[in-house]
Order: sequence, then C-alpha cells, then structure tokens
Amino acid sequence: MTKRMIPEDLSNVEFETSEDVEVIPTFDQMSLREDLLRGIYGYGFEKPSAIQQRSIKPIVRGRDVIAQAQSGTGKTATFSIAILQSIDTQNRDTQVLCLSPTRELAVQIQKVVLALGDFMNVQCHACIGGTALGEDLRKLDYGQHVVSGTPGRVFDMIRRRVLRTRCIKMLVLDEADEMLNKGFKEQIYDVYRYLPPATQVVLISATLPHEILEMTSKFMTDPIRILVKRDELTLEGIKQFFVAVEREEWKFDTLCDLYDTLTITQAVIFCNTKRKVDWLTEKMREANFTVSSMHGDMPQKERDAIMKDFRSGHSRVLITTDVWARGIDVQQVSLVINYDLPNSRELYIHRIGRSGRFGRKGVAINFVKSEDIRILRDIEQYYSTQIDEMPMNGKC
Amino acid sequence: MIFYFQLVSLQAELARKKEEAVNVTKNVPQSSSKLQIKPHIQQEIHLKKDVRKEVQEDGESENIPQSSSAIEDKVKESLLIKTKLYEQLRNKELVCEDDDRFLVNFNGESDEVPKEESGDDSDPESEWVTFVDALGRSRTCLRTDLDHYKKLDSKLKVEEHCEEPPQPPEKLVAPVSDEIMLWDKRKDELRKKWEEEENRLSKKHNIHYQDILFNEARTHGVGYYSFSQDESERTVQQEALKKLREETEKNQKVALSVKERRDQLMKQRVAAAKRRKRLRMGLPPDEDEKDEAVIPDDEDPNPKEKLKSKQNEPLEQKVDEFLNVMKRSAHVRPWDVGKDGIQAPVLTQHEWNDKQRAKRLTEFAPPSIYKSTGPINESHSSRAPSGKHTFQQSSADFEKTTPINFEYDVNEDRFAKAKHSIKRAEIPPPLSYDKGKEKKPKKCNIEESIVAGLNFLKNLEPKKSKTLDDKIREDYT
Repeated sequence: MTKRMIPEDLSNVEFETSEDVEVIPTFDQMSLREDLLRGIYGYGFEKPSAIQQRSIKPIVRGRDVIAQAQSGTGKTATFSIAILQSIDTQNRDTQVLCLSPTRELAVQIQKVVLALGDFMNVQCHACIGGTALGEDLRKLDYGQHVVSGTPGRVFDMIRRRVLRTRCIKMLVLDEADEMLNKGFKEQIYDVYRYLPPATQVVLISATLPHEILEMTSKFMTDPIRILVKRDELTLEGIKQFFVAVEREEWKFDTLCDLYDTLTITQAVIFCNTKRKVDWLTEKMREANFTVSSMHGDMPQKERDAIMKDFRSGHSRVLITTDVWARGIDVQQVSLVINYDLPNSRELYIHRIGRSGRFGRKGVAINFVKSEDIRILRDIEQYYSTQIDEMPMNGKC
Repeated sequence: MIFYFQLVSLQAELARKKEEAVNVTKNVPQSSSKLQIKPHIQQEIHLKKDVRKEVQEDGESENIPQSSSAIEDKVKESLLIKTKLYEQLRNKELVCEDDDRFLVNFNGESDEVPKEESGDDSDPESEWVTFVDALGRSRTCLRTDLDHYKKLDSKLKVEEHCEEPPQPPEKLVAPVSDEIMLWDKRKDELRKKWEEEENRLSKKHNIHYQDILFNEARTHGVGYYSFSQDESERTVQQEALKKLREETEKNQKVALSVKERRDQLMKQRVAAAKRRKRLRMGLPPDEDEKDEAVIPDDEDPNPKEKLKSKQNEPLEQKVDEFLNVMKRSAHVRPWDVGKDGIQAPVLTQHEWNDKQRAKRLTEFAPPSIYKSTGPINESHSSRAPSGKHTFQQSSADFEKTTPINFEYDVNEDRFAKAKHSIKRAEIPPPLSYDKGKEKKPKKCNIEESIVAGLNFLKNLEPKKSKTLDDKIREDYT
C-alpha cells in the first residue's frame, strides 16, 4: 500500500480554525454518558465555554485536535471530559496518557479527571518525578484508566514496562507549545515512540506559536484546529497595569505598599529566577509579611505542601517562578504581580492568566524599570491589549 | 535657628557613627578598635556640653547589656582618654605638630563650637529654647514652658530607669510575630493532617476525588455530592443516589404523561366547544378543526419522513467519515515510521527530487545565479528567487500550480495502484495526464462503490437479525 506525506514546508501557511467545527451549546446535547454529565455539573460547570462547545465532540469522535483558548476558560476540563467520555471503565488498562510540563499541573489534571469522573469511579494516577518509585509501580500495577504525568517519569515507567502502552488510544499534551519546545520535545518523542501507531493526539494550550503548529504534522493526522487570534488572547476580565520604578530596589518598597491589597484574596508574585524568589521571600519575611514561596529547586514534598497550603487558602501570597506560570488553577487568585517581566510574550499571557479564572475578575501588575517599558509596550502591541499605568491609591 | 538644625543632623550622624562603632568593636579585636572609634569622638566634640552629657548617658544605657565584656570596658576607657585628648587639643592646651594625624580640624572648630554652645543662652530674649530630653531627642519649646517640660522629662527619665527597657524594637515586633507564630502553627497542623491523609491513601487502592481534595477552597456545583472516603460507604451512597435518580426519572415520566393527557383533553374540550358554537350559529363544521382533531395522526408521517432524512444524513456522514478515515489511515506520521514495521511512505518523483537536492553539496548544485537571475525555462518560473527554502518553496508552488487532489491520490493509491503497478511501465506518466484523464470517473466510482458497500452492509444486518429470530422461533417451536 502506498502512502503519502503532506507537503513539509508550512512556514508560509497561515493556520486557521478548521471550517467544519461544530458548536454545541449545552453539555446535554453533547451525547455524553450520564454519570459523566453528573460529574460535570457537580464540579460546577453549567454551560460549556467556547472551547468546550467546539472541542469536546471532535476529540470524542477520535479526531486529532489542536485546541487553543484563553487562559482560565476550561481547557483542562475540555480534554478531561473528552477523555472520560472515550474510556472504558471496565477495562483496567491505561487508555489515555496526558503529559504536562510541571508536576503540579499533572497533579491538578489528575484532580480534575477524578472530579469529573467521580460518578464513573474512574482511576487516574499522577505519575510525576520527585515521588517514590514504589508508589508508581504499585498504582500502575493496580490499573489506571488515565495517567497524567510529566514526561521524564512517564518515560521511565514505560521503559520499565510498568506503564503498558498497548491500550493507549489517546495522547494529550497540555501546554503543548511548552511540551514541544526545545527542552521537552525529545522527551515527548521518546514517549511517542512507545505508543501504538496513529494514536489520537490532542494538543491544548493558550498559546500556540506558528513554529509549533508547523511541527504538528509529524505526529498528527489531519487535525482539527480550534485557534484564537493573538489579538483576542487576553481576557477582558483581567485588568493590566504597570508601576514604573526607577531602580530595582524600589520594587520591594512598592510590593510592601501593595501587601494589604494582595491579601484581600490571593496573589501570585512572579520572579524570573529561583534565587530571586528566595531573596524576595526572605526580605518580605524580615519585614514581617507572611508569604509562601515555591520553585523548582525545592524538594517535591515541600512543593506539594506549599501547593496544598495555597489551595486551601491558608497562605495568601505566593512568590514563585515560571514553574507556576502555566495552567495552575486556584479560583481565589485575583492578583498577579510580575516582579520581573517575563522572558517571553507567551509567558506573559500564561502568568497573568493565573488570575481571573473561569469568568472571574483579575488584576495583573507589572513592575517595570524604565528600560523595561519598551518590552511591556511590545507585549501590549503584540496582543493588542491595554496596560495602563497603575492609578494612585484609592483610585484603583 | 541654624544651630538647632545643625544639632539634629549632628545627632543623627552621631547615632549612625555610634552604631558603626559598636558593630566594629563587636567584630574586630581591640587593637583596631581605637582607630575605628575616632569619628565617634570627633562627633562628640561638635556637641555642646549638656548634649554630650545626654549622649554619654545614652551610650551608657546602650552599653549596659554589653558592659560585661572586657572589650567594651577597654573601648570605653580608650574613648574617655581620647575625649580628653581631643578636648585638650581643641582648647589648645596641647598642640599637635603633625596635622595629618587627626582628621579633625581643631583650629577651625574651636571657634564654632563655643558659638553653638552659646546658642541656647546667648539669646536670652528669644522665646524659644531647645533642650534634649531623656530619650535623647532635641526639643524646642517656649521659654515659659521649659520648666513644665523638664518636669515631664524627669518623670520620663524615672520611668525609663524603672522599666529597664526590654529593647524597644522587640516591643514593636511582638504582636506581628504572634500573628506569624499563629500562622505557622496552623500551617504545621494542616501539614500534619495532610501527611496522615497521605499515609492513609498509600494503603488505599481506589483513589477518588474526595481523597485528594486536601481542604482545597473550591466552590463546586449544586449537584456536587461529597462521597465518603471509605470505599464501602461510597458504594452504598452511590447506590442510594442511583435509586433516588431512578425514582425521580420514573416520577418525571409519570408527570409528563399526565401533563400530555391533560393537554390533549383540554384540546379536545376546546375543539368540542368550538364545534358546538358553530352548530349553534348554524355553520357547518370547520375543516381546519377536523385537521386539528386528527393532528395525532398527522404527526406520524412527519417523523417518518424525518427519520428517512435522518437516515440519509447519517449515510452521507458515514461516507464522509469513511473517506476521512481512509485519508487519515493513508497518512503516515513521520514519528510513526519504524513502529510495528511501518515504513516511510514512498515518495513522489518531486519529493524524491527535493530530498536529493537537500542532500546535495552546494558545490555540485547549479550556480546560484540561475536561481537569483530568474527563470531559465518556464517550468521554473514560479520559483522563489532566493532564500533558504527555495526548493521546498518551489515544490510547494508546484503543488499549488498543479493541485493534487489528496483524496484522489490516496484512493488511487489504495485501489488502483495495486493493479497498475504490476502491469504498467515503471515510470508513471506525468501527473497532469493522470489528473486530466482519470480523476473524475475514478472518484465517482469509488464513492459509488463505497455507498454500495455500505448499503450492502446495511442490508446484511437486518437479514442477520431475521435469521436469528427465525432460529429462535424454530427453537421454541
């Protein structure tokens, strides 16, 4: 049998949303299983968001899907619902593999899958690094319908033949642009090589740069694309401001002035390096402010505890790195501070997207030195959004 | 008033220097301490006598906790010596030959200081007086109020001494640190709790949402049911819920049928009333009414038609889907090559050419002027003039100018090529020939055959079930 490849050069192609995308306005009309529907409503969803209206059906029908949507509009739930609809709970083999760039995100996806599939009694395991291998072995041996993990540990489990790929029919790459970036692409390839040929692939992210879309023909077949133009990528509900500071040291004073505002609900403060996170945390604590901090150099147990702390609402201000930039969903976060401006435009979108979850309001404040204003203006222009100077006290 | 401001700034400077000195004496052994303390004394010289007194008191009280150390004593001693020396130098009781030895200009300042000193008293007519209180603050008040303030000050001094201050900064910190301590305590409690939960989970096989919620502050939907973490209890709860749901559904059905019946009765009654009205008026029965009455009968054919169209729709959909599936199964993902014996797809002539061209050393390639100066012959006219992607672009352009129907190619590949490849010549005719001649009829044929195939399958199914039914009947008879 002769087979043909699609022409390779796609650098000049403009990717657009596929034409034949059906919009289904309610969950009831998606012909989902009843116990799944109950899980969806139980989790708090009432009406599907735009991305959910468009992507769930094609994924359930087995098509390869590339789905893009603004942050906090229910992307995780989108593929989780589709995953749950497509698995057979009677079969204890792993049927879906979901990969994410950070351990916290993998755990969060596990949580969402379990929540939505609560009435289905689905089994979903978080297969992440920094945890005991024995636990993974035991859990996978028992049988897990869905595995949500980070590429390194998942690959390790596959190679040890603990995670059997024979029945895997769907691979989901959450934060796909990050997963297919230099750091991860090789690992994704390694995992992909162990999957049955022509496995259904689903890519999800708020940002999908052109070079990533170009690459998808290597492991996807005739995908359905649901894309968002970049000038529609920022959310109206997230107001963006900047505070101009002349010197780096002034950022700290500004942050201290803002502290009372931070603790009204919950806030996340982003720095660009782990060292700076440590430094800022120490300085804030010296000044008697209660803050938590998290970054990739901490032991996993500590990271876990900090996440639980923050999710429970016990700690209200979290100083962190870009490990927290993508995907993490804490409903009460309404303020994001970029203590340092992010290193890429995409990261900016992801960072500010930690607030304003699923229709809630949010605020993002950028601390900029005079030489950084140019970068901020670039971001503003690129996404056709508005970043105003922060009003003085009381006018906010 | 100049002297007042001078005083304030001097005092600030003094405090700073003092701190510096204390730090230095803490860290550095005695030998160097003398040198470091110089500025301290230097400042003192600037001050008027009473201020100095206060300062000394201050210094003493600050030194109280440290007085135990021998170093501090020594420092103090040397300070006193130095103070004396400087005073003597200033008063010109002693004269230093080597001016560079001291950083203080004794000659210049000796004039200034007395001026400052006299600042307080030299102006007896001035209403305002400055004095230094027990806490070392310089304060200004009306001369008339001076006594009053001095009294207050002495009281304050007594209190200060009684209290033996437990270090003021700590006082400030105390309430806040309480908060932090509480926060930490709560944090530890929570963590302990979560750790216990995790330990329990590690023994559990089935993990559910409630097991990993860990006090998360999340609002759920109205329909959220927090199942028990105990597996057996969970099943009981789920079964109870299921029963409840079934009951609800049954009740809903009953309610619906009751409602329908009521509606129908109402309709009939209304129709009857209308009819009676018409009869009373002496009119013949309305035809529309008849239609209305027969509505339930009328409704039947419609669904049938709908069903038919519905059946047709899925058929078209099925065909589309089938074609799509075919198309997709024909595509080999480059990352799949090598899996389960999957081989890289056979390249077309153009793809092969491009591949080879990509491999070719540039020195063996046609000179670049051919590309940059434009077309050599017509077939290359569409090529991009320059750039890295020339070949790829050209191939893309080629595909654009002579569009290849992907589906067609695939279908041909799947159905026709097997035949062709055996009998025909190894070198296929140009693509344009294929496209012009065979494209349309082939596609139709295939679609038709697919439809026919599907119909055949559909016909097969009912037959099967019939035979099954027959069999069962036979078994029973």
